Amino acid sequence: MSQSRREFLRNAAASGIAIVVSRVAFLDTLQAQAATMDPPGGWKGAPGQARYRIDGLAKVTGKKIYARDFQARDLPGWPVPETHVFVLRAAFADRIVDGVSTDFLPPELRPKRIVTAADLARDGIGIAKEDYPEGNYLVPLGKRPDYLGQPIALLFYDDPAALRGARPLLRYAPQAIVTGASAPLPEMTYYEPETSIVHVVRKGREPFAERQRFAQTIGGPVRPSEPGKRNAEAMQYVEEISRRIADAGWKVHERTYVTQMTDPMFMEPESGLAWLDRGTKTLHLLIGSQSPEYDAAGAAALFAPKDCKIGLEQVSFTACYPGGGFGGRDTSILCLYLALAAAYADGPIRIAHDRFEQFQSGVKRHASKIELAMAVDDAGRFQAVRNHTFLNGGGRINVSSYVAQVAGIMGAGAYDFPLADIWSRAEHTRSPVAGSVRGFGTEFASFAIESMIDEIAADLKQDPIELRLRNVLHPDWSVVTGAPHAPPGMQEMCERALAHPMWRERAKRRAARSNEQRAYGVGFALAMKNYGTGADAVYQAVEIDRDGKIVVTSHAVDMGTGTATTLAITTARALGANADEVKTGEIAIFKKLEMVESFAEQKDNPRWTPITFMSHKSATTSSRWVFGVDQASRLLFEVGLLPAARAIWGARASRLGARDVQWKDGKLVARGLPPLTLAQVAQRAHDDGRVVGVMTHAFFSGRWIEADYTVDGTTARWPIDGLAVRRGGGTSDWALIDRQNPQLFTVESMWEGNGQTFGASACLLAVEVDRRTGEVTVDEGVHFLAPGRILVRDLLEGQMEGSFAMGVGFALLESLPPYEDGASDGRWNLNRYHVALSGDCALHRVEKVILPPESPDAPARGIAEVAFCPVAPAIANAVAHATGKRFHGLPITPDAVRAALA
Amino acid sequence: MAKIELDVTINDEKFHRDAIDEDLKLVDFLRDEVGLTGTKFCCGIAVCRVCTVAIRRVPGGHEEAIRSCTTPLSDVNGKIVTTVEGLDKDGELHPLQKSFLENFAFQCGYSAPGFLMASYCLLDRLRRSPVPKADVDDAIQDAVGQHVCRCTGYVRYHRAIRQVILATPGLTV
Repeated sequence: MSQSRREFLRNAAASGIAIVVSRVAFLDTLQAQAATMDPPGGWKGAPGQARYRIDGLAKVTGKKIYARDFQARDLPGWPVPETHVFVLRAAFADRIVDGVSTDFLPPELRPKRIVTAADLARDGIGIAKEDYPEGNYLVPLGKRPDYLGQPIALLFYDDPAALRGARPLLRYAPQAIVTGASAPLPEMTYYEPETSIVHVVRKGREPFAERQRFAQTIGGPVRPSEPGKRNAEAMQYVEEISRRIADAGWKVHERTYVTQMTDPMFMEPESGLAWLDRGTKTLHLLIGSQSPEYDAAGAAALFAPKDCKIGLEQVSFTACYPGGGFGGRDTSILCLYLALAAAYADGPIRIAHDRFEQFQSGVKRHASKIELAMAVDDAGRFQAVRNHTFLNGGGRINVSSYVAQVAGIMGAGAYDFPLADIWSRAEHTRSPVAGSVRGFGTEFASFAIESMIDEIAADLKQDPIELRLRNVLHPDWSVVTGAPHAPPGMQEMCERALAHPMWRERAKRRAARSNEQRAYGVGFALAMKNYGTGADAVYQAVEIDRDGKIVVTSHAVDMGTGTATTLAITTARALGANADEVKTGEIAIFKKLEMVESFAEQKDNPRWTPITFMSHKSATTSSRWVFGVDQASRLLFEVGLLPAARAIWGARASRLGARDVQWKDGKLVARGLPPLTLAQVAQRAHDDGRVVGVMTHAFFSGRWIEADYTVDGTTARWPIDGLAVRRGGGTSDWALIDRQNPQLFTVESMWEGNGQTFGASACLLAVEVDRRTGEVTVDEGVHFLAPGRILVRDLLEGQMEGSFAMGVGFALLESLPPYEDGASDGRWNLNRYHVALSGDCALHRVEKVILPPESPDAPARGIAEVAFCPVAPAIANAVAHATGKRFHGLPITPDAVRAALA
Repeated sequence: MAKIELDVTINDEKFHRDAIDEDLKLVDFLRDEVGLTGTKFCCGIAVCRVCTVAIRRVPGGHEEAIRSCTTPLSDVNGKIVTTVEGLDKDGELHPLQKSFLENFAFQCGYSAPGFLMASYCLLDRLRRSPVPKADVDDAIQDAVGQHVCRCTGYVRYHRAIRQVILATPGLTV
């Protein structure tokens, strides 16, 4: 919960540049088109169910929904045509950039204009120092690039054909960049804050919350680099843990693991449009993003300095449907360059990466080094863990410090350690920018710890799964931060895997299926992963028209995970019907709530909240946005529709509460009263001027902020911290309802409560290793998941399947060199960077085991990241079982296997 | 850049250009010149196959799945192109489109047009040369096994295609 990012956004807002984010307007058109092939709402199943994705029809008919599909001519009011901009990037960081020259190009392929850092400096373009402290959006002439892939210049073309011809010549053309003297590579530093988690219990095992001697939940985070008694005490414990590991007589396993840099490789290379309308001083942006608000604020920050010569009063951001994301579109870098280019064009501009450029510029998964030590006693009980994880954070901070933070929180895996010394940090290097990618820091410890457990089991001559069972966290035991939040299902996954024929017969099968050519092995891994960020905020509105049509508005972004579909069916619990429309990526409407954010509590301000909004990540749909829409729907029902129903039913119903009625077959029923359709109730609510729209803000950190709200004379407590209502009867204004008696947070209470929530997954699988080629093939698998309440099973299973495939790629296929011969050199594409194909994924031979909800009120957990985490370590363990050789680095390439078997 | 006179039929509509760059790639022509953005661009080097469209040499001819990102216009002159926008007819979705929807086959959807067009060509091939039911999975793997999708894990694409093949008379023996 670093404050820098939040400060950055506030500073952008304080610049006076208004920010408006809305979805692309194409959806209205799409619905008109869709009506000819499928009735509106054809996606709907029964209430709470979906026949197919709400966005499905647009996708199977090839409609314009992705940013790449749009040109200026598609956008009402935009001048045409657009100028096409190429971003020239550095593939080196060891020489001075003296200039840019396109003289080597044939005349017809030369740009009409080149913008460099000198232009930005002359015009007072700003730098969002808090978010990008290293500054230089374009490498200043006379300086060395800060990192590989850093943009040097923007090249403008009127003729798209000319740019098409020039692209391959510019992409990896050293002659375009005039270089000067060599310059020493920068010293490696790291991004603040680093994460240090020290966990010490007095003795014994769970439940032992009261026995904790030192934990993050007691007094907040440790900052070793800062003074203070608590930090000093923490370091004393660190030393004591090292002493105990060395001297306590435990068996100690110590090893360094490494994982590779990868690309999220979402299918749509990033593209976008921008237009600085100088008449209205509005910067229009169109892009597919996971973080529209952050991106818009970042663009505004460029023009915020008082001496900036680019006059700007408003940023209007249109959020398109991302063609994949996986985290890689969170805090997009492209958006800043769209904004910069627009400032130097007379009309709209377009930047459309090809795949080579996407590899050059896109956010990467961090390469990691994990120095891991685990101490285990003679009985096979884990006693101590020391996990020091170092991530290659690349040349811009992006969200690297947050990824390192999660790497720390998940640094003890799914297990109970009485002693834990965990330290993680993202190093500032010359590598391409690294940031959020599925796994978000958990995948590093998952690979290291799950690999080491198998080594320990071999050393102790114990069954690896039984060893895990001996040490796995039980539900609600304390995780390494000290918070009692361990998820359910992990023991059951281990037990089921232990009993599975693939595991029980693994020795026999290995003997039967291994020969001189091939080696067969079985591996297992368990993963626990936080979902949400520890401080999550959601906006939503639920409205109903006179005909009973329900519209949900949210600032969530659907990047393919099914968020829009899931939000659409969420209204059914309270309103008896699925939503008819879901507007995602909206933010402007929520300004009506007038929420004010700051980490410092503002007790007397009824609009205060710790965070107003968040980007779409961390598998938060099922847990946070669904909760928000569900609560808003309930509120709409209780303060608007139920009173309207009572009015229809008359005096006999005057005391009916929400628990006395239910939706059945699309009608609201109460004992002894005639059933009412949703449209009947909605019409009455509109006629009577009752509440027909509810807009809420909600904040979660281990619990939701809750408060009392009085609507139409009735006071009730709701788990929200901001409320506005809209009434029927002709007025469309939203009216704010002040909260009362809120149960708020302080920064300290957030740390103490440790608002993380966790889910669990596991993987049991078999591999075949070709001894001659070194190729590893996944043969079959069992994928376990404990999602809690299931919202849309098809979407859930789809996330598991996608996670499995990405896990195969992470384990066996995907890798980018982190430095000069890596992604920034302009030569990387899918001919060299291999992602999993269907033939790699044991298609139709991976069983999904989805554990039932642990209780009737089990939450719907975020699963899209945790399901990814056990796959790669399970493959590594299976390869070790097959070959007798352990691989301490990913990916496990044919070369590495051949070398090990040589 | 040499120019050619272009005549091509796309989704039953004839397109003519008096002079157009012969090396212009079909995907760029479809997306930028014609406005049919349903055909997607991803790798640009004919590996991922999201840009797949169907091409016939003559009316009633074989539907051939080709990668439009590396196919120059000179190669499609005089031919008949079908893109994802041409699959639905008379207000009815193609059975593959329906099956993709009902199986939740795609997620972000960016790869879906390529899978649709490759499997559309597969259906045409099976119509002409049916295969035993036991060989259907292999036929699907032949048709779409090299297609890249980053979201799904491929399971539901294959399931959706198989359902259509097995439900369509004459495709299997």
